[in-house]
Amino acid sequence: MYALVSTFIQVAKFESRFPVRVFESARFYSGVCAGVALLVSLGLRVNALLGLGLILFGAYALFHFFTLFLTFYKNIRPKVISTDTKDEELLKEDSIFEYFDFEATQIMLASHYSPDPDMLIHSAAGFPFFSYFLMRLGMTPAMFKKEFAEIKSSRERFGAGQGVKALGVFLADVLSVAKRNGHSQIHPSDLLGACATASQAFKLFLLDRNIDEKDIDRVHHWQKVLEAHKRKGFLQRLGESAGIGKDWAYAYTVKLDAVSTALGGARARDSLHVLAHQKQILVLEGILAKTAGANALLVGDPGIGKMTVIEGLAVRIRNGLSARELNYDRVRKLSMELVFSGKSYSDMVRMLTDVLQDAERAGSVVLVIDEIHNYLSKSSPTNVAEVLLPFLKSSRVKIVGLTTLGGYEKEIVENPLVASLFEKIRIEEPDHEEMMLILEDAASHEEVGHGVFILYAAIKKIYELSRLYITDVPFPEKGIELLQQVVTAAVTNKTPLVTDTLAAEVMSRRVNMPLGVLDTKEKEKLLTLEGELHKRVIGQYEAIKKISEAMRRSRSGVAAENRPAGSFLFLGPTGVGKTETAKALAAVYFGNEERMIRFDMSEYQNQTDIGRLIGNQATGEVGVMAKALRDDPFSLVLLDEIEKAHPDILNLFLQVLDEGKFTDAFGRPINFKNAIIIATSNAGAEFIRQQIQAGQAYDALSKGLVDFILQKAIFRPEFVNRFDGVVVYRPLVKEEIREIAKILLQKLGERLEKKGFTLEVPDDVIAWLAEAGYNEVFGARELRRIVQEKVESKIATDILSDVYKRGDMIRLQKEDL
Amino acid sequence: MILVTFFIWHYTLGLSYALVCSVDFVKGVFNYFSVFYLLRTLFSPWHSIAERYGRGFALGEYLMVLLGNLVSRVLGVIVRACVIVFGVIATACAAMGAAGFLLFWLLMPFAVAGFFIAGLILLIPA
Repeated sequence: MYALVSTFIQVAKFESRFPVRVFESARFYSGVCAGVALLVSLGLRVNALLGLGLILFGAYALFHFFTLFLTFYKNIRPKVISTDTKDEELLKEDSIFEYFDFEATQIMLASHYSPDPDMLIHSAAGFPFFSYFLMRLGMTPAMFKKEFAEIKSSRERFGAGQGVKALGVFLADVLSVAKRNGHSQIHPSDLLGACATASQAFKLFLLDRNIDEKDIDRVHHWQKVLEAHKRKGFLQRLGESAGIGKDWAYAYTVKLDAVSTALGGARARDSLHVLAHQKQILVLEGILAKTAGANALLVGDPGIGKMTVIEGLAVRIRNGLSARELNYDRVRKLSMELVFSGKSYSDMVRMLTDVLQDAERAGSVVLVIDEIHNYLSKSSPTNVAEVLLPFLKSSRVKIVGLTTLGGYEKEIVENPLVASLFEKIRIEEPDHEEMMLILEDAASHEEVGHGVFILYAAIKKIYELSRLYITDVPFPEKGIELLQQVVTAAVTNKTPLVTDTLAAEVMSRRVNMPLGVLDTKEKEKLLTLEGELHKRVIGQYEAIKKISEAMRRSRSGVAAENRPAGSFLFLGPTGVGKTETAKALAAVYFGNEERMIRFDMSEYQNQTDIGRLIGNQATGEVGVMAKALRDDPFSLVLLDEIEKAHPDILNLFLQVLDEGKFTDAFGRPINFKNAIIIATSNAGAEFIRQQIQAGQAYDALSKGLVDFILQKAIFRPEFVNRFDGVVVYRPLVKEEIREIAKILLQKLGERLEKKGFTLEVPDDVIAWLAEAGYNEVFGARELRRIVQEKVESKIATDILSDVYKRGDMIRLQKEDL
Repeated sequence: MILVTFFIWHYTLGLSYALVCSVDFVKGVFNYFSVFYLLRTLFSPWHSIAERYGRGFALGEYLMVLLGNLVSRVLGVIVRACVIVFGVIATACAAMGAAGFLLFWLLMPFAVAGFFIAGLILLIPA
């Protein structure tokens, strides 16, 4: 073993000086020249040319075998890290170098086994993995070296640094990274992963690009995926060939073939995203390999990859890798639409029976039926459970049904006889790690198909955006779908580079929301949110500040992700600007105040009213809140007079505020993660008034009010605590009413301008309106009423009486009011 | 130094690698023609085309069904036997090719030296 390792290191050293590609080129040119020389010499019968041809042929053979020699050592694994080997043993006397792969060995050799991570990074920049890594970051090694040197020189950015560790300490870090990445050898990505911690400059370089240790390994995996997608060698293709004559013993299936399609064809082999479902593919294979009762039911949400599992199995069968019992089987997807098209029920039953008999006679068919619950429902006009039953019991045909969770619970569980003939396999969503690998795999296909180059940052962004903003489709479907949309956008814009900015732009257009990296304009808007809101809401400085701070936390990514974008409980008397704040926030945050969905909670005082919100399975009624949020998850939900809602409804919001979602009556998840929830209440209005009159400061008032409503048991503590902020609104003072009067008249002026009139309002009119409209109980509502009755009504009458004509200026006089 | 390593590899690990590749190639050709599988199903009816004899006994009908089924099986035997024979021949050729390749592998250093020497002799006139 030692000899193998030392030879491996020797070859690695040689190859870093004379890369295998040099020998490949030499082989090619010597081969071509030898061929030409030999052919010409045979024609001209010139001995010297024949001699040259033989020498060139000898060189060709030598280069060929030398290429094989170098490639052999590049691909072997002389020693692998097993789980039972202790770190101490691995690190003893530098024996860890025996576990380095070819390229990692070359990097260590190039850096002269230096423990200085900066030197190692510098050395690594010339090797394939690091070049590939930089390429996926949109950089060349030269660009990196320049930037890296700049970062190193600007010491003020990161202080004095940690200094260089001893080699043993650094290698222990490398080993930890390799183990964290689940590697059985040390790869270049593990070296760089360790450098990401050990080198301050490299750490900053990666931080600037939002890249961490795990990302480095993911890019390494991507490189391996691309290598795996390269055209396979002749021997491998021959070995994977299914062979000829395997289906000659099976019956022709003319009727089945007419209404079904083959799965696992040659095209499927390269377009599968089976990585996430390897386990389920093997479980399915185990079930179908049984001699009797070999039927399976794949249960999962649409888009989760049920068909991918089947395709994965079909490819295994095709490549002869499946269990012996399935080796020559054909996997066919039955098109029930074709079976049922334009026929009477009896025709349909006859046709299906014929097709199933065809499959049974063949004895080699795995029949796939999508949305099988539609054909097993007792109430459905297409119920064919009785037709399927004998075939489900047959040992000569295997049936795989695909169904959703809802379909399974509603239609299949209720039919115990049918359910007992299937083995259920639950298909779960891939996790973060699996999804990133799937996206890399899919990206490789998109690059080949569309001639684009996809940056790693784009893949990362696509995962994040689809996770956060596409809530009605599961992974992997939503991730792949967004990736395809982004690639299409790049192709349309004639941009060969797919970046994270483009991904954010595509998603922004899709949800009509700013989503990308915070641009300067949006940063300014967030930083000056108070000002934006105060354009519409007068006074309430403390409340507006509290809301603005919460929104900044949410948009900058500091807030918890699994909760609504923002949630507030507005407490205060009527007419002080609670609803206006909500409208203003909807306009600023979602771009339009019409994105506010208002629920008058006084209409939900009974326990039975919950059905109107979340739906009712018994009556089939769709919940208004469920529908509204499903139609537009980017909304501001205003729950007016929340204290009047039934306690069960408040319990529903406990879950919403905590987890950012609820499940409707039909079992569908409704997502609030992109919504802002504002609940308003007049509870404690009198308390506020008293405290204000007593000159209480805002913070003490807020605390006192919360204690008050808890003491009075208006809300439970767990409900109040779930909100991002409890915002107290003060009663308006006269000066604020005057400002509101100005705003109301300004808006009236804008409306009149559209009709061709100009409105002029003197200060004494504004003062009069503010005086007349001031009411401690009704706040600005009274003012609004006064403006409507005294100003708007009069102007309307004058316009109808032709006092004013288009183009005229309307001058309000105090005496006229 | 690397040349020594190369020659050591060529007659140790390289040789076993060449041997594995040669065996894989021969096995691949053999499996491609599905020889074992076709032998196992040699007498099966061609694409399972076989009629049932039905209830009762009518000599004429019985003979017709028998003849039909016999034709199906004979057809199956002919096609499969042809493929088996062709597969065996192809495998034998592959085995000979693989043996030649292995021989060339063993003789490669001498062959290369031979090409160079012969080439030089022809290139430089006596």
